[in-house]
Amino acid sequence: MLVQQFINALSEGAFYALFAAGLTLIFGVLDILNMAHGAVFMWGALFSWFLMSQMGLGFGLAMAATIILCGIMGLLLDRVAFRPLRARAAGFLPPLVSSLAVSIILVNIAEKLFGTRVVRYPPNAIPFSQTVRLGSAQLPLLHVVLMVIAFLLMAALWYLVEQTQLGRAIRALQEKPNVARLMGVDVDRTIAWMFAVASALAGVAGVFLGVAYNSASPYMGHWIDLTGFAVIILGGMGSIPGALVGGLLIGFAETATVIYLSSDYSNAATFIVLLGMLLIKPSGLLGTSREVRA
Amino acid sequence: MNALFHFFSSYSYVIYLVGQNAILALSIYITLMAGLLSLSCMGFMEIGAYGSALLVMRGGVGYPWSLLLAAILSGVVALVIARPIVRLKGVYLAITTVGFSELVSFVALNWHFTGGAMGLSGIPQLASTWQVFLFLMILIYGFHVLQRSRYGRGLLAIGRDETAARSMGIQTGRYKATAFIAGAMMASIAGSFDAHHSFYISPSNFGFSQAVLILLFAVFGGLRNFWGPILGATVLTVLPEAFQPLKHWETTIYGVSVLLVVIFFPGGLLDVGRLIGRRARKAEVQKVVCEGSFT
Repeated sequence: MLVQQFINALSEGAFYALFAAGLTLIFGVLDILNMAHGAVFMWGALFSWFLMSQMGLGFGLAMAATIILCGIMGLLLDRVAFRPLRARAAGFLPPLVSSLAVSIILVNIAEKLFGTRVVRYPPNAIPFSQTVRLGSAQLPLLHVVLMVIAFLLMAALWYLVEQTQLGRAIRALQEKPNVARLMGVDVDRTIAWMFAVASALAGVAGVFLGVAYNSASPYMGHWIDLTGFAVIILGGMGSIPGALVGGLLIGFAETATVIYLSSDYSNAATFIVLLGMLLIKPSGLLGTSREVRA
Repeated sequence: MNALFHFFSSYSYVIYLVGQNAILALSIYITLMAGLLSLSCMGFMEIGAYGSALLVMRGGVGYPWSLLLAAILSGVVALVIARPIVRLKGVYLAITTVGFSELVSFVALNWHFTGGAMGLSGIPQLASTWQVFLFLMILIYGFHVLQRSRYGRGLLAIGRDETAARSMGIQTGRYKATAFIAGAMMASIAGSFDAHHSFYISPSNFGFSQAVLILLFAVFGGLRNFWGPILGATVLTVLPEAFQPLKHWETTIYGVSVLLVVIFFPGGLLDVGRLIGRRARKAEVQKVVCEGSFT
């Protein structure tokens, strides 16, 4: 029982981390909250559902198509909501509002295309439906596989940011945007790539959470946005390992409240952890306390 | 005839909603003046709604007094949390205040006294539209005075550059805390109106998505002065009704219009108006120039 809950918390945390990684990447470079991240996440879940149940695609193919769609969505999101404002150097409020507007539009389109009800994934399209025994516990193989993929993706993202040319450009932009520009970093291109990667990850997180809990709806982006914010504040804004730590922490906090108190309390647990963190160490667990520019 | 009546009844609700949303937009504007992005309005609106409704239904308090008492309760809650909250900056503050609102919802959801997830129904319908607009008028007068007062200028100075404001001798902490408390009490009164106008309230009425809509009102209208949020709330409340014939695509239109204004008009709707005004003025100036006058 406890092993099962442990795996549960671990997989939930890994999915949250996957979602929050893109959010934290964008915040780290641009100092803004991308309010449309949850909407892209929701599109990931619903679009993959659509491909599997209406088009009869297999899980892998649907997954690949979803990643591509969400990546393109990220590019468009940057182009429409962020890039025009970047040219104007408008504080953090206008991009917040413009991404909110995009999120409203995306949710409305999803409502029209996929309906407003909660949908279930077709059981024959989902692989790994058997359970594995671990000691005395029965674990759904699907959760374990998705969790492992999520951890691998986090590792890949970490590699991308730490070891590749694109990652070096992203980190340079995080550090000092103007100097990065002088050193020959193509700012707009780097940011566009970053949005594509972040949104593709949000889409993957959407597919994983949707499939793992077998439900998706146009409104699933709302609560994950809040959870994502909690995760990146806990882990420290802009830090990929921080997103992982924060995601796992929230995953465990929620699972623990469900076990020991009641499932009604799991959201409150997230926020109590978050408020405590903000009052004690606002820069987060792994964040560097950066000087806040006026 | 029936259709006409139906039209009027839905229309009168929209008018009421314009007033309520304008009050909420002003409650977020007063914190934005001081550079605080506070999304706590939903939390305080919820305290106002539940507080006033419960005082009337279970406490036997008369209606306008219940609204006042709920506002004072919100003010006290805001006073307690103001100091640690206004120290935070930017998105940290925004997320903390969202967390606060979620905790208020959580209490309303899990306390049997407030009716839990089923919400509170059978609230006496005591608030009428004219009261909402009377309060809005009082607020407009208040903001008008505030704009020219020492305190108002201080808030704007903090919003521009907090360090500079502090160096000029403005007690930034106290100013920001006062703005936070004032915004809380305004949101609370809007919440009380909501409860006494709609017969039924539940915690799901006061969620994160509603809070960000209020922020949209303010930014969409423009933050240059207090007319912006009022204008934004009015337009964005009426807009979905006006686009009703478009068969449920009104939300997309809503999103697109917000996006367009934010991208192309840094000062919100106020800027759109100003642009039209400027064009007219430019035409006038050109006419004068053509006549060869040098003034």
